[in-house]
Amino acid sequence: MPITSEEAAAIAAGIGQARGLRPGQLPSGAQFAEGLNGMEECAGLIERHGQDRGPFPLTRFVPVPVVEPASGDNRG
Amino acid sequence: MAEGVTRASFLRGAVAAGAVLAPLATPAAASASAGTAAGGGDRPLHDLEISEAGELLRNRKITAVQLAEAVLERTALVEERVLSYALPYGADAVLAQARAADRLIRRGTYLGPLHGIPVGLKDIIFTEGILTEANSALYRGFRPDFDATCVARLKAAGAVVVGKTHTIELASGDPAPTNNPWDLARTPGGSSSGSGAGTAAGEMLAGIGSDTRGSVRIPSAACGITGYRTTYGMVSKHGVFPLSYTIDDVGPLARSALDAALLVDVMGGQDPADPTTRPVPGYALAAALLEDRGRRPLRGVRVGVPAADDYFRGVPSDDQLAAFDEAAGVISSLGADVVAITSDTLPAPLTTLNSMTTPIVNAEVGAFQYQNWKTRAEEFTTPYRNQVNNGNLLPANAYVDAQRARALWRDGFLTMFEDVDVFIHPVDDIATLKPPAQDPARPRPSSGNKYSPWSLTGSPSIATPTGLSAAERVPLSMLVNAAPGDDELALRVAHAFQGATAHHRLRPEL
Repeated sequence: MPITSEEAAAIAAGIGQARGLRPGQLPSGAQFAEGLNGMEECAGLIERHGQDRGPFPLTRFVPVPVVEPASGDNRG
Repeated sequence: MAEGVTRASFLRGAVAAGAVLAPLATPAAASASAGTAAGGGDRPLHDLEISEAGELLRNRKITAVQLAEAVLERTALVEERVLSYALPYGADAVLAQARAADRLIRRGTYLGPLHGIPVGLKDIIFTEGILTEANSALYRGFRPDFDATCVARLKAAGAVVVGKTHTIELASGDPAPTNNPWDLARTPGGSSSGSGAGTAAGEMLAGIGSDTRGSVRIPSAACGITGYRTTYGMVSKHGVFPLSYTIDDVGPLARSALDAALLVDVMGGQDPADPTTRPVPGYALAAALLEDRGRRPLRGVRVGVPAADDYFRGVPSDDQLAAFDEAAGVISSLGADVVAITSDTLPAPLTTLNSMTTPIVNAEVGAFQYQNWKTRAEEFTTPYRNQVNNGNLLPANAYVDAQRARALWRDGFLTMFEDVDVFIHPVDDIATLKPPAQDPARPRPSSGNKYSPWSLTGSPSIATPTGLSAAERVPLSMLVNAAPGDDELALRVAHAFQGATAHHRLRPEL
């Protein structure tokens, strides 16, 4: 079950208290829920697809490998 | 999965999908009625495309000062209503650049198609010694001590910078004050709001913006111009406030695909100051577009359109669907092999692309603003702060897994380009009304963000005008997309379409 905005707000408040954060440093419940639920969906996608090329932490985004079109004459 | 379709069978598919064909003729027929059709030889200078003005400048039929004066006069007339500028440079500074451009031409030094062309810059792009405030309280009074690489390259090519244009705060916060020149009660879209509105309104011949989740293409679609998000890394981001460095893209908001290509030819190419730029010295996209391909310039190009039940046909606006179907027919008539495609946009368990974009964008902007977040978070506007805060509270694996999922998702999504060269689809809707006004209910909900898929893949994606809505008479648009690196193909389709239609030459009445 996805985390609700209310549940996410409560989690954020708990983290904020533990870390000594100000209210202005906390995300809204809806925003935090989107992040937490997104995390679960991404983990689910990885699990379904396997990790043929990993696991690896991406330290930088490597664009999909392509041959630059007509790179010999500087076209792209 | 691709299947061959004819124009007739494609339209039948549209009916099956619930598209209402009644207004189909209206957007296409709008080309010369609402707004001033800019097809004749008596057009004011401020309405010209770069390719046209550049030719007049090169042949000394006009001067850069005359062109600058035309743009300045237009700005004096409309800026109070449109509010494109965060910081107009003013007549003295603009005319000084134009006079310098004219001097070079008189001495026989012509720097190329941008020589003497008035261009605006989104106010997140650094300009040496000139305010760059990004519509953010944290950067009030900020004067960078260098020009962004894209600015330096524009200036070296002879462009005349006319000012800094309004942006949503740091490309992702509170809206800009800018109004849509087609209907001042509507938003111009964002985040490159001023560059879009200003180009449509004739205050500049083109604007430069940045695009993370659509910020070049959204205002271009809303304002009836051509917005080009390049393949990731073609244009340097050095000297541009970042939002999400693995997604951000600097690109033009212009009046045609050809103009957009001219701008990227100048701004693009590897930059040692930006390690994410592609290892390509430079680009010659415009020259490729100008090759003579005859009366059927898209012969041999396979163009995908979304199948009836595909994610990319989940569009709330009937007008957008109808104009898109008409555009697909035009593209077919230009020789393209148009085929219906079912995309793999939301593979299980994904229910929204935000599952990837939110952790990625929030974590990257959170990291960029970490020092400010610790001490001054309250000075950001609520929408921006929410993202920074989210990025700094989410666990690290939210970011890492989102990037890993992105790579897996991208590999599946891009398989569509095993079947087609280019994929086109309508955008969701027309420009929205500004609050407190509310847009009327639509016959169906959106299936989800139509811009983000191409941001996540790092693909070329070009917002291309397709007409005007029947009731509101505001712009309609489609996106022309390709696999990363295939910018030339996407531009070819947009350019050929614009060669056969006049939608991109419509101008708002102001």
